[in-house]
Amino acid sequence: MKGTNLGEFEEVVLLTIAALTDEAYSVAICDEIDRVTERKVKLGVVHAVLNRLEKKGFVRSELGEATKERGGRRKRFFIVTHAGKVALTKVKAQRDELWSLIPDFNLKIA
Amino acid sequence: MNQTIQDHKPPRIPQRFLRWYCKPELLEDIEGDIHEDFNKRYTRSGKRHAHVYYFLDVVRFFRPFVIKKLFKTQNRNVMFKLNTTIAFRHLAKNKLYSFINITGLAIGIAACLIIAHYVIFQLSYDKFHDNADRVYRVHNQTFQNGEDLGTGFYSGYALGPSLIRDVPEIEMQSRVHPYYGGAVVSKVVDSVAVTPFREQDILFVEPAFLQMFTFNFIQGNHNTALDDPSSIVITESTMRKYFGNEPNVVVGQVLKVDGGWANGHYRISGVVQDFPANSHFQFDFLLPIKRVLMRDQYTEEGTDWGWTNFYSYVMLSPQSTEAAAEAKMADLMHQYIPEQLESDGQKQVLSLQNVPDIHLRSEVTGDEFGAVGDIKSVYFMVIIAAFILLIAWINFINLSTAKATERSLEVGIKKSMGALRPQLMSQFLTESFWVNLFAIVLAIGLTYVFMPILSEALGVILEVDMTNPLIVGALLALILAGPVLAGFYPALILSSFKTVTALKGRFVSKKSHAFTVRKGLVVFQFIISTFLIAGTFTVSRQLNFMQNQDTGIDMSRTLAIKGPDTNVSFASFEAFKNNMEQVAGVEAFSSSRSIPGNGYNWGTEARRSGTDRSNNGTVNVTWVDATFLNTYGIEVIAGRDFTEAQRQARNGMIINEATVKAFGLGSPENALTEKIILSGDTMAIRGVVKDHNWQSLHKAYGPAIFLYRFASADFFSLGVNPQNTDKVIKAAEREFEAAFPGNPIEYYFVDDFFNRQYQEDKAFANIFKAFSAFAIFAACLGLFGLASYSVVQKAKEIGIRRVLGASGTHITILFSKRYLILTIIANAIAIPITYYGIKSWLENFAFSIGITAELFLVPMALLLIIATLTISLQTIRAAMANPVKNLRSE
Repeated sequence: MKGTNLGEFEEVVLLTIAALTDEAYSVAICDEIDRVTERKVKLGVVHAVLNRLEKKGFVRSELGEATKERGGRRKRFFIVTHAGKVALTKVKAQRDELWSLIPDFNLKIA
Repeated sequence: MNQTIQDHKPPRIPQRFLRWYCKPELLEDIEGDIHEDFNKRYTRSGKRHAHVYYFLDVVRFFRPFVIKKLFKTQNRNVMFKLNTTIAFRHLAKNKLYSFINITGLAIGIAACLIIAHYVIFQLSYDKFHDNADRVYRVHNQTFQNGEDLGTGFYSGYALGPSLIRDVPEIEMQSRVHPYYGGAVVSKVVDSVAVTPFREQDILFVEPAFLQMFTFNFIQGNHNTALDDPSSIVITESTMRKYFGNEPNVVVGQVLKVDGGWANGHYRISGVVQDFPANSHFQFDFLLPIKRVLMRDQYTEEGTDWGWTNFYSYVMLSPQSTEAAAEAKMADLMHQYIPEQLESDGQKQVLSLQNVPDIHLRSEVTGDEFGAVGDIKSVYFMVIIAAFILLIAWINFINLSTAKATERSLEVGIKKSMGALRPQLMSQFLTESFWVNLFAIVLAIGLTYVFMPILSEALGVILEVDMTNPLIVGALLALILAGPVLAGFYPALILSSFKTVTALKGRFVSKKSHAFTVRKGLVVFQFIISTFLIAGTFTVSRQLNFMQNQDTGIDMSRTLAIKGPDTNVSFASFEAFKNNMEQVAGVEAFSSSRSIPGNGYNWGTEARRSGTDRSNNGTVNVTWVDATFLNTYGIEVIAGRDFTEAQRQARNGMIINEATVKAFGLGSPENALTEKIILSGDTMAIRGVVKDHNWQSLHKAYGPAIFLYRFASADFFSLGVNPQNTDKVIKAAEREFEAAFPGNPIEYYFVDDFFNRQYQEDKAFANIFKAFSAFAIFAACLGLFGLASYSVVQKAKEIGIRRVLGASGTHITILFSKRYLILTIIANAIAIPITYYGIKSWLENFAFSIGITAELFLVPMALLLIIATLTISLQTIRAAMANPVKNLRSE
């Protein structure tokens, strides 16, 4: 397995899962990323990332109830694991540190 | 989520595809997601949209992490490796068998690859033009009094411009006027003409010609190259010929053209790459058509539709169709020259033919320019290729099954150890796979080796191109399908042995069945072989017949010299003639405008005097002098030969027997009292000659007329005494140079020249020979396999017979008999097929050898002899073997 660091898109997906709490399943994640980042995300890509995150141990999944709009199929809900939370926190800490080092004027948008 | 969304039924096929490839643990999730999206789209944008996106989503999910292991191979990989090892050991152990098997297949596949190249080439004609799909040649079909006289493409010069005027679908057109008779072209350096060459492929064309067809200009400007009437465009190879191999700038250099149509100096305005070989026309020089239109012949009143020396290409505008344009042009000629057509009782229907179709599907009924292909011959080659592949595979099947004897123990042991039938089959299929793969690799090598030889036989120079998508596809298909098609039956047989019997060595449980199938296959091979041998035999007999048939013309002792194009004067002609007549060994000298095998000079209309124009028929005219008929030994059966004492018109015409018949002139003697109106001129008939083959024996005798011409500069014919040939040729070279300086001499014996017409027939014969040789070879391999199989199987029987006193000869005959019966059966089946094939082929010839029993008996006898030899090889060995050896082995 490749290293357990987080890629950019992986981070977005992981954050979205955390944000959606109980409602985090693939289509919802997709829609949410779409809404927040205004990126058109393909389902297949999200699935690939979810698959990878699960392998890396950052999320786990469980099956929900059968629903009508899915033709009677169950949703797979994702929950951020402890390792996932650690990874997210670590990333945020690193970012914060970098942010704190930036002098004010450098980021003023003209 | 939104609960108001309805559930819809997704499209079935993508859904099934998804279920097929998706890992089961992911399926529910993914299918659900796609379904949910599908429902949303359905409500939002409708059914179609949703269906399309469902399909797209399914395709998008076809990613590595989703796809289940389609080939659960861990275990099979190991088996494949093991089977491969076994296959290699087996191949290495039976070297001769492997060699025969692999080479047999390889030769078959190589033959197919070569044929595939040929077929691809034939189909590729004229597709290299960017606008190929909308460039057409204009054809005209002639009806006289309702009778179809055929389709041609020559027309008057008025046709091209009127097409542009009257048919809006036509975007551009170009008339083409060939430089009939050729010309001598020389380079002008410091006002002096040097390096003269005789050139044939010169075309007068319009500037639009350069737009319609795709020319790659190396030098000069594509758009203006032919605008100036004194410009000339040459090909790259022509540039090399005249200016050497150094890549100079030759635009601006001057060429001198001498040949009668448009003599003069031309400034090179462009150099284009040579056309590839797959073009229906070739050229070395392009001249502006303005030049030839300046001739009096084309500027006089009333010549605009009369001189049918032109043909036209048109390009349709992108949005219009062939049918629309044809509808508007069909009776165009009747709008311009109604009276003339009316009085001739003629109807002219114009039509178009797309340029890429010309090569294989020409609508023209008369002569085309260049070698014309035939879609039938392409089909024929495809069928031959299929036959060859079939024969090769049948061989493989026969040989593999025949090897069963040696494999029975192996199969028995494997079965007793618990091997299942599918496992054994996969073992034999693996073996088949490797044999096929080796064969294909070898075949590719063989293709490279044999392509130059065979492409010569096919009459086209082909380059091996293994990157052609069709070839690549064919190879992939062979790799995938070959092992299964050829390997399945042997695998089925080999794996069917009952364990115990196989171990005991009496292996063939379904003997009769297996044997019948293989007998059937051998019979099939021999049917094809008989067909091909009989075909080869017929083709070479016919070819021989054509080259040795009495044509009614004495050609073997006649030397023809192509006349000069420049510096011709009557004085120089007289000088040459007189000097040549002095040379020892020259028995006759004649000048004419054409010679046998070179076609006629003029095709025109004629009728018997006293009948009206609707009785016009087509006749072919050649101009000759007073010694011509004598030089060529053409027999005059009534009347007299021409005489030098009279001028052209007074000399009248000499006609052949076919003309007498065509115009109802009665007997040859009676014909002398009649007159014929030839293209408007009434002329007396001076003599009648026996029918003779002026053209190839493909063509029947047609009405042909000789007219008198005192001197012609087109061809000089010398009746040569065979003992002095060399001297005469030397003298001719010397005198020709002296009389016509600046003209390269070109000469040939007329029989050789005449037989050049059979080049395509020869190519056909060569192909037949090559492939029938292969078919016989392959069929014999099959027979060999079958015989060896049964000899091994009956080893004990032979032993017992020997012990009881049977002689070796007796046993040989006993065992050979049944195979000979197979060949005889094959022959019997082949006869009707062959008869039909030969008959339809011979119909191409007006003069043919006719179908005789010999055509069938000789090939059959030949095949029987070859078959007997093949079988005897095996049976004699078995019969001579020490019987003790065979009887002891239990």
